[in-house]
Amino acid sequence: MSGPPTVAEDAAPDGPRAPAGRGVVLRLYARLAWWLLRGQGAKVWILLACVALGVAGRVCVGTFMARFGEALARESRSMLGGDLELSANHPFTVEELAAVDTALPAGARRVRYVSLVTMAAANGRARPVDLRAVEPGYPLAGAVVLSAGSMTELDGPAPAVAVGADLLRQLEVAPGAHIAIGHIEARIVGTILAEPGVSPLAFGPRVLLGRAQLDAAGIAGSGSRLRHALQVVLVDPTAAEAVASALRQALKLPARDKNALDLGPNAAALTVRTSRDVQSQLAGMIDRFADFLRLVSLIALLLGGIGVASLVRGLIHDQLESIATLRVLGGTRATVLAVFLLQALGIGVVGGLVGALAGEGLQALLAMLAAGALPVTIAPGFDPGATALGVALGAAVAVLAAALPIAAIAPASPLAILRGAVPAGGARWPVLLIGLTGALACAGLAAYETHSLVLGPGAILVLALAAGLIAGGGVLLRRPLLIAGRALEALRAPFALRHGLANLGRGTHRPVAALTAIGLAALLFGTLLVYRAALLAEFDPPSRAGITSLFVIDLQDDQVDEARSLLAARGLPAVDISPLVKARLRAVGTEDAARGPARTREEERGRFMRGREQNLSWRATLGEDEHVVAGTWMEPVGTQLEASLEERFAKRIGARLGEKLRLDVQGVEVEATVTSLRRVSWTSFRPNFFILVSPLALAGAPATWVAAVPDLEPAAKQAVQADLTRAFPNVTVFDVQQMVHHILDLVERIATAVRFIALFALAAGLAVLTGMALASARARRADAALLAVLGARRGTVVAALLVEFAALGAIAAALGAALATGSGWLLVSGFFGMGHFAVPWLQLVGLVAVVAALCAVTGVLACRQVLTAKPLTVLREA
Amino acid sequence: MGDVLAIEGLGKRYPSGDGELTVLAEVTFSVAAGECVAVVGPSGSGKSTLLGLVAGLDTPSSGRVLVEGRDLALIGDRELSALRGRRMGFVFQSYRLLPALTAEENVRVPLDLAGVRGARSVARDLLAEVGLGARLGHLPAQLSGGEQQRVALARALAPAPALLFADEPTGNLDTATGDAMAELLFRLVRARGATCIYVTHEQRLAARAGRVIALRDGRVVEDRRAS
Repeated sequence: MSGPPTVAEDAAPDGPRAPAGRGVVLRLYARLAWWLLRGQGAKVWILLACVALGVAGRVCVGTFMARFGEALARESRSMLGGDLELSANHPFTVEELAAVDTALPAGARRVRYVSLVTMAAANGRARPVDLRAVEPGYPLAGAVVLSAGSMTELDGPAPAVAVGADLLRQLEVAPGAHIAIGHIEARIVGTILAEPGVSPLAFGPRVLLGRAQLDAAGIAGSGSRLRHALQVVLVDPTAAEAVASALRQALKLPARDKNALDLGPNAAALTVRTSRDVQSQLAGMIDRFADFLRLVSLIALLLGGIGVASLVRGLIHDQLESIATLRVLGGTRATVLAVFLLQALGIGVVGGLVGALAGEGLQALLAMLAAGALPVTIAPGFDPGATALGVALGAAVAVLAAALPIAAIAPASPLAILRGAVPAGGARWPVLLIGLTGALACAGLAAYETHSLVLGPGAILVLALAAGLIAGGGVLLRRPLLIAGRALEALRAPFALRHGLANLGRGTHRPVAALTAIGLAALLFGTLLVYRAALLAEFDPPSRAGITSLFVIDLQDDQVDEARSLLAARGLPAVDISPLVKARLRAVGTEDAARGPARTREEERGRFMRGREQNLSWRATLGEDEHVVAGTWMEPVGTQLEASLEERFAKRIGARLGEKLRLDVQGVEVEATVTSLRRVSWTSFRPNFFILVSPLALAGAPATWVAAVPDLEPAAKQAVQADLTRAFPNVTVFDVQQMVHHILDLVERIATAVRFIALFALAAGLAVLTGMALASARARRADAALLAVLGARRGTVVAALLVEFAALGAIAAALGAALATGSGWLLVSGFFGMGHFAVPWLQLVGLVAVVAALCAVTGVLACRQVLTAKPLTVLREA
Repeated sequence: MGDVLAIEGLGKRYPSGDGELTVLAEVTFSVAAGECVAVVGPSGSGKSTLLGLVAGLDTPSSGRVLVEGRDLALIGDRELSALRGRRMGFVFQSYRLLPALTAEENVRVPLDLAGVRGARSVARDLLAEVGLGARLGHLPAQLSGGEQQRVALARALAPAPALLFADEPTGNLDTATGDAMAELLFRLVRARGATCIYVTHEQRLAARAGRVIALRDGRVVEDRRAS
């Protein structure tokens, strides 16, 4: 006996039906998605804007990095000045030069130079400069462009220099004038207009001097921080890596570890670098700065996601009848899910593409803002990889953000919807699953973008907590708003004020998503303001009375007493002078210091800190600006070799109390036990060290001395700087104030770039607000029409809208700014470990005011159709 | 002819305040293929709820509904949706057209969902049959109430359903338009040999059915066939 026919059975044979393939079904769903979407008008544009704004920042950063990489690839050879470079912290030995001769192929050209930081003086002023004493032919690759004269003049018998334009201003001299460098007076032949490879991090203008004059200048003493370099240009530049490898072998240097962190040319006694090494070192440096840009752009993307979730919820609410009708006409739950997810996917892809193109265009602006902090010039261009990433991110965020409201609606009963019931939400597990997927995706993406398991996921956690607090705060504030509205009524306050506040208090127009998005954008800006304030407080001159004004490095043993006398003669008897011995860390406990993973920024920093050249010192008692936080201060005259580590340094290198440090002190291996951890106030600019060791550990090791000259008036400071330079040509005297300005200038440039990307987050927040305003337009039109019937003027309606949106913006920004003090503290004290923390109250109030004004204007503009509709038309529609 | 629809002890309760509101209770009847049944009763008697449950748009609190022998409670969402899309048609009082879709697109939707080939020409033919051949590209908002209801009728008949459900099909129309609509509905249903169950509170419309089921307070109080 055959049973009743199934739908599948009766579908095909007797009608024009055919089983639909996947392609057909997909096309049908896509068509339905498009049909349903096209009637949504402006809301679709705002959805696209939310995605586009979120994506634009990330693509902007991505393209910027790609362009930077290209510029590096283009310029790295001229930045190095050749195809490869050999550099050493000592004059090249005969054996080393013989090895070079053996390893270099025929036809290779070479030129030598010596680089060091030293002092240049004129007109009673002295300034540190980044000096290169060069042989004729320098540079082998690229060219130095001078304003006047030529490089050949540097090789003449009379001392001559080419200088960076900044030095002319600092010393108040002009081309043709003479400046003192050590014992020589050199004529300025011209200013350097262009020179490849000048680092933006250099602590002084560049000076080029003929190599032959270096000895006469007497500045290349034993303690001077100088590098001897040999530039090489090959007949076949593509052979650079192979030649470098042969050279390393000939010099008995370890082969280059592809996974090793490039510590730059000053990392080792003898190094061989190719232009590719320069490229990877600089790319790594800028990539670390880009971590913050990527994190901020991710926040913008998440705010866009909040907008998508909120708007899709509104769209679904508007399409409830269509959804029910679709079910009545044979659509399954899966149909509803697929149609709306396809809508979200389409919006994500199109929004992502628009955002990607905008980001590509805005990259030039970011490059301009960061220009001073970059060693190369970035050319505008298009990066298909960044665009593809943008589109993928847009699609992923849109689908993920839309999935929650879609999952909530799909299982609803069609009959209930047709009866006007709003579904309360779907089953718990899909909602939980989507939420969990979203949270994991955000944390994973943040970790990936920042290369950190601390910064990225930590920021997302803070953001999630903040979102909860802002949303909760917004809900809690409803009642006080209503009470305020009633109180204002008693005070006979204007109707618009009362109506606007009451509208927000009632929460009829679902302001929570907009409130949260705006609040998070304010949190981001507020955090940047708090960070900036802390940075300024850290370096703020008024709070640093009595602090170091000059920092003298490279004093030799026999110059210490003379330097004390000179400073005492200037009325400075109590000058803090500390010894400094160069060393390398070989092992921490049983761990080889050179090894260890560098997969995250934290591991990378640890490896860098272990691998860098360490400055060791000793002192009998702790300085004023440091104190022991763990363990006990070392016994200075004891026989046990002890080490005291700065606490953050200890954490980074992975050293604990009681652990042994194996140090290579200029060829002598020393093992010291960590007996104390110190907290140091670095911004005192007194001589402070990551590692202090028992004097016994450094006995016999060649030391230089570092002096900190206390607070001086500008004129006295200039005179002391000039005196020290004249008396000790080999020393370098840094003006702390200038160093601080230099640091702050660099930080400000980076902060400007970060703020620029943060603007995308604010714009995304405003897009969410616009979406909320559009979603409530119909209800507002009805309200406005009724108010008009009751005698309200258009101005009253506008004023009420202004009050409502300004109040929303002010509440969101105030909550965001309040939370920014907490997140700022975490960033400043927890992440950066800065000693000062300051809340810029005035600036935060300004932020609240600006955000409130932006929200008021955006909200009213989004509601403009409310103002133009004729009351009768609206009431008829209702 | 066999029964195309069988309802056994059907009940529906909704939560209301602290208790429950019984909208339908112990409703039992069956409908033979090709029959035309009017469901009548005062407002709130459960007519529309009955229609919704019979069409599988909601789940009953008790009892069962068998459509062409299949218990709606025992089939999954996929099969139930297919059953609705291919064996049932719906006409609502307030038309329920998809507002963003043109007349032609509205009629195409059930055909597309059912995987019918040539959906476009079927939709066009049907719209021509209901007198809207010249209004294919119009959105619902651009059509009059009568025209919208004719689009809804064309859409309901598009998949050639065995069962047509109509909930107050003339309820939103003026008398003349309503009469014309009813005429069209009965003519097209008859021509297709479909079973028709419609809810109405208009005596004139109810009188045109071969069978009238009267509900009061959620219970069947009368089940009368025309002589």
